[in-house]
Amino acid sequence: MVILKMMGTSLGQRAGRASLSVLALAFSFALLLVISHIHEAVRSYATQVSSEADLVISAPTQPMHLVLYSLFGIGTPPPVLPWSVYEDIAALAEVEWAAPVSANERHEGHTVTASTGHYLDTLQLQAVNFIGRSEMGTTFRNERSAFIGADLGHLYHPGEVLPIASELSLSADDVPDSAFIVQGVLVETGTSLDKNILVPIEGLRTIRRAQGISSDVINFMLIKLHDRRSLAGVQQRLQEAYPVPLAVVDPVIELARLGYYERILNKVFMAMSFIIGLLSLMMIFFNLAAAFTERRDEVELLRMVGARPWQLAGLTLAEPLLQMVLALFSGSVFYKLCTLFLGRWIPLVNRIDLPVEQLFWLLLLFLLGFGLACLPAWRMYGVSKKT
Amino acid sequence: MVPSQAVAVHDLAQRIGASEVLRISELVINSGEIVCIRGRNGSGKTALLRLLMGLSRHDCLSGEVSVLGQDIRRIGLSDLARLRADAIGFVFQHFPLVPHLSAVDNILLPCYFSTRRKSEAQKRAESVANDAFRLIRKLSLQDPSRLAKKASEYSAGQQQRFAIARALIGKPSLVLADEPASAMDSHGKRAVYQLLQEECRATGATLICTTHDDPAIDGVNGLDGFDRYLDMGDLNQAGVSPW
Repeated sequence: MVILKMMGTSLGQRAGRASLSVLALAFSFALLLVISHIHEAVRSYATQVSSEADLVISAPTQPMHLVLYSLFGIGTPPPVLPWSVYEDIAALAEVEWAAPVSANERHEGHTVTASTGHYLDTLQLQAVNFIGRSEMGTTFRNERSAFIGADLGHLYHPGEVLPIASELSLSADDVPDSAFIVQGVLVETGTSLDKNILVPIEGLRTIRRAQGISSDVINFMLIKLHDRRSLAGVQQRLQEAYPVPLAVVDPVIELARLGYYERILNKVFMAMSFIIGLLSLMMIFFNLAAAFTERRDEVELLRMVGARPWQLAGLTLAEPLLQMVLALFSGSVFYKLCTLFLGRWIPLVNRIDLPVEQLFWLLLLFLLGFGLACLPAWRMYGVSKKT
Repeated sequence: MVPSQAVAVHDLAQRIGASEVLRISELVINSGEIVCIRGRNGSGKTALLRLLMGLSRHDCLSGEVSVLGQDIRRIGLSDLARLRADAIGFVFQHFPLVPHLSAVDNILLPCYFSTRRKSEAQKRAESVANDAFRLIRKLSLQDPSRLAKKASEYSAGQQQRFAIARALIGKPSLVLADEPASAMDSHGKRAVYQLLQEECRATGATLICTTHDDPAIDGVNGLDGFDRYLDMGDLNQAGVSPW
């Protein structure tokens, strides 16, 4: 008991320096966890999303651009394709389903994305559904149902009418049957989709026809094949033999390329956090080493009252261990707070819990710290044995 | 069983670095004896007490050193720790207390490491804290209840008083006091020597107390009452001590 008391009071002697070390170590622990969490969340989301769609097809464009826009809503919509191309490809024997996506219409400046339930399922878009689930597809109640992005939730109400206009069309006041009704609000995604209005593509095409718009186009389509083994054959056939030039992209391959750069960035951040952690451990070590000379008399005195060498070594070891445990605890609290804040900014992080294997870095840092702490403890043991 | 000789030194030669610090052909102090070792600074008093505590036992070149029946040069680490905890009370001249522990924790330190001394203190005053207060009162401390402050916040004289209380708590068999009253005025010195003598006589403990005070010059009356006075100059035939 007195040993613990001495550790506490001795640590109290160096409270300022010790607190700084603990804070720095806690910061590095938190940083390691947060970076791992973001990396894991992005990786897991990308894997899930890309596993839903085998191919993404559009008019010729950069493959990375197509994947980023189609799956993450990043960038501008790809150039348009005629609806007939979609119908041709959807009719291929290898295709299980095809989801056409159009993003050319606007409502009060907000992009209107038109597609099918497959698109919403692929992007794992969840909705707070005010009116109830539809009979058609998985999400839309009928052809005139609309979902608004999370950021538009405060602008529109359930049941409200949304007149949709293409660049050439008139407003809904002029064409009353060209309106959608708000069915629900999409859960926040952290992408540009949060500012979009999602409508069923069949409904949009009906309105286009009603407004006399002759262009029946889409921006891209997602394809799911019956058997992924036929992917290479379908991709080659569409790219080389289809009468209209197409960009036919396997999202898994493009995401793997993207993942390579993401992993490099992640490693750089992890290395930086790890270095901060190491520096903090060294601060703790040097604090201990600096205090070692001051404590020689104290050690001698304690040996005189019967303290055993292992007790004094334990005292020396317990001090950095206590600091590390404190840092671990504070780091975990920082991490939880960070994910709460990050969840609002990058909603992806709310989708997963940090996998246990990601704690490897913490374990490594803790073991390194333990090893460093053993050095002064071992020295203390040696000195104590001589007194 | 308490050995008849508390301390026995034969043909001792000790060297620290290049300096020979102790050369004592014969020193025997019987159990229960109250001994004062006088000597000028650097005569080897502190070196002798440190050796009796086993602190510098590896620096001995030759000779035999027995403390409470244990050969201090050959005793194992664990037995030495037990001997110090259970049977020896000490007062160092320069580092009397652990500075960041409270005064009362400093006094009670031996009881934390030795169940024997803890039970002896409890036997004497119902609780170890009461025994600590009893000793402190005897050392003329004004307000013994205020012992919760850090040891470093007390004056040098008060710290030395607490160190003496620590040395005496729990009825040790041997008390080694190195210049125990060096930081005190003549009134304090008298109180310290009297307490050391009274307590050791009451418990049958052996007391070895060193001082450089010369009553003829300093007029210190507290040096009365020892069973025997030894002159370190006569005892130690070595040259200059590093202390």
